[in-house]
Amino acid sequence: MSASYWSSSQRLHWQFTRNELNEYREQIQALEKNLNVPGSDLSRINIKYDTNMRIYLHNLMHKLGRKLVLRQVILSTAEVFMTRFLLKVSIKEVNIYLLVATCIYVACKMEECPQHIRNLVSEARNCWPEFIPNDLTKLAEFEFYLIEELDCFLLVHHPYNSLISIVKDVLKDPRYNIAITTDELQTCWSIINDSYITDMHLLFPPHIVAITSLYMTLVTFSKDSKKLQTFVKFLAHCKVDLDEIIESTQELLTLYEYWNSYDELSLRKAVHRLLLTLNNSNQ
Amino acid sequence: MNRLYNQTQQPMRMASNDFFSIGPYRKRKDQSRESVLDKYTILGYIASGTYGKVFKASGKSKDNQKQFYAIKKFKIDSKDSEITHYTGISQSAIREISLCKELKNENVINLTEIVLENKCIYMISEFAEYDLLQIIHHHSHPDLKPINEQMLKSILFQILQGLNYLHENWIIHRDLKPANIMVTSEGIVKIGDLGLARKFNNLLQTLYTGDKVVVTIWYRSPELLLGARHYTPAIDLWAVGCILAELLSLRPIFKGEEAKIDKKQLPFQENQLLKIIEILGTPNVHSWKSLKDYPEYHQLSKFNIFPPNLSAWFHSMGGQNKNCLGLLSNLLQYDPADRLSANNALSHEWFSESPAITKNVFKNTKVKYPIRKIQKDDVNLLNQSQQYSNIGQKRAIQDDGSRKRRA
Repeated sequence: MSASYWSSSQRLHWQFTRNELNEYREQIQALEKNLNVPGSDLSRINIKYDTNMRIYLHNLMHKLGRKLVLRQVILSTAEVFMTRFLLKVSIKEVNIYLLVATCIYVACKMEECPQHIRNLVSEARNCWPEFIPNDLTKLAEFEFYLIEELDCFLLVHHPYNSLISIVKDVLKDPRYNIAITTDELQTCWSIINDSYITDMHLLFPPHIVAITSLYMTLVTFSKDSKKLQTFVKFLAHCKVDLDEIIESTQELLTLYEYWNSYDELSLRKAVHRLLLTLNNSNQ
Repeated sequence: MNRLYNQTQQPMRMASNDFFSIGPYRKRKDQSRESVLDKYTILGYIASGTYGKVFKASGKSKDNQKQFYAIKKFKIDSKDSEITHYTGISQSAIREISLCKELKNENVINLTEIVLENKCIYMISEFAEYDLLQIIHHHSHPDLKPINEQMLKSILFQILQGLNYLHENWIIHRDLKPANIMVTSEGIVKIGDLGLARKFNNLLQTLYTGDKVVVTIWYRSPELLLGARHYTPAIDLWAVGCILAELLSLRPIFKGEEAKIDKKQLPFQENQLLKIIEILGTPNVHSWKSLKDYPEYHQLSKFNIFPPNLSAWFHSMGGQNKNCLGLLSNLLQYDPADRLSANNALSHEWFSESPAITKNVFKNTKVKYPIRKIQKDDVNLLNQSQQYSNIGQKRAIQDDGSRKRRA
């Protein structure tokens, strides 16, 4: 069903336990060991699909998104596609710049704001001229393989709606009467945007991510300690899985820690070296 | 060696056309993919349309050998008749794929799987032996033989159940018509062809922005004809009203002539609206409060004033049941805000009175309907040619309220 998350493909087919995620990733590691590029050693290129790499990919996504002046929700859908794809595919098997562009291309269609493929390729090429081939069929081909890998499940439920309905309806309940300020809501929104870098959308339902963003906002930014207390009371009353809230808070804290020491330049170098090596063996 | 290494480190300024894309991944996937022809035996060709071609098939594995399937092969947007390269999947294919993967309801065509292979998309779903266009045709040729009330009522109820499910899921079908309502050999009604369907929650743009023209002309609601930008699921209920009328009279109730579409401007569909006004009377602001707000409101002054005439139409078609007329007039309500919703229509009195609705719509009918024609000499699923064979053309003539969709 597409109205409700509970009977959606997202919950039934694209939500996993941590163990399952680990198994998929072990499979990819095994696959990477067998990836042979004649004449060069891929394993010597220090590239892993880790948090740093994911921040890098997130930034690529947002760079192209800004160029195309896209709504946030389209980028979030695109990022979910990418995260799902990279659960089954190694970053050493594909051109990740083209992957980013393809995810955005499909997400635009899914969110009913289609972009012409020519426009998309040309903007992507403006962003990354060395890595985006000026050939529409390359992106169109990738679209096919992306949709196949996603098993045609393209409808994504995001936490934004949950956030709005919690803030507008639930927290206004006389028992809590918590008024979330515009600034606080903006912070929640940014935290949700960041959550797409992590595995949260493969692990938890959207409302957990929404509540986590509220919790973190109130803990870190709100000067009103009473507000936080009332919010904790709300958490105790509502029947959400508190362990999941704690886990996802932890997930975000770890992300922000990594982000502090994030070194884009060395990552970019490594990615470029990888792509040029793959390209040379391609020819 | 060292120099060479340095050269590879230096990126080229511009990626060439054959720059690395997905080589190793493609190789891995292509090796493991099971072909659609390994899984299904093609029995024949059914029909084609703007969307592509449909074939009848049976399963190849032990558990589905006796099962029939419809395989819809999407036409790829390509100018050449031969598909030699990828061109990007159409918006409508993406919609249909993504929605069908989420839906599961007894009265909506059930998707079995989707296969992407060799630059083509194959949508495999359950096979339905009949559709309402066929059934109505059988009752009207060579002479008129009315559909019995129990069957008619059961069909309508199941359409509404399927539609209610779609609307509960924030999906507007946007192309309901007899040809898109299937009936299985077990007598279960299935709403099919979600190629124009779309979600209407979380809209980033108006529905109008995405597709300027929706719904086949004879089933298009008055608010759409008046140029509504923000329309609602009520457009589907208008179409259900038209289908109910057609099941009763065995011909389209509002059989207007479509004004040709000019590339620059969408024409006002004057003849279609006239057909509606002739039966339902001229709409006015008393019965339709927002009437003046529609972009094409001023066009209404072109028409003569007609009085409401639906009950006269109903009786002239041999209709007698009051509740049936009541439901019909609630579905063919001018103001979309007053039109019955699918959910409310399901609890309409007509459905609870005798004769009772049946789960198998054929239960108490002796009529034997002809089974779906297939062309057995066209079993070449992989054939890339876009030329349509005869059955498809004949069908296109029968179903000449042609659908409109954006390429």
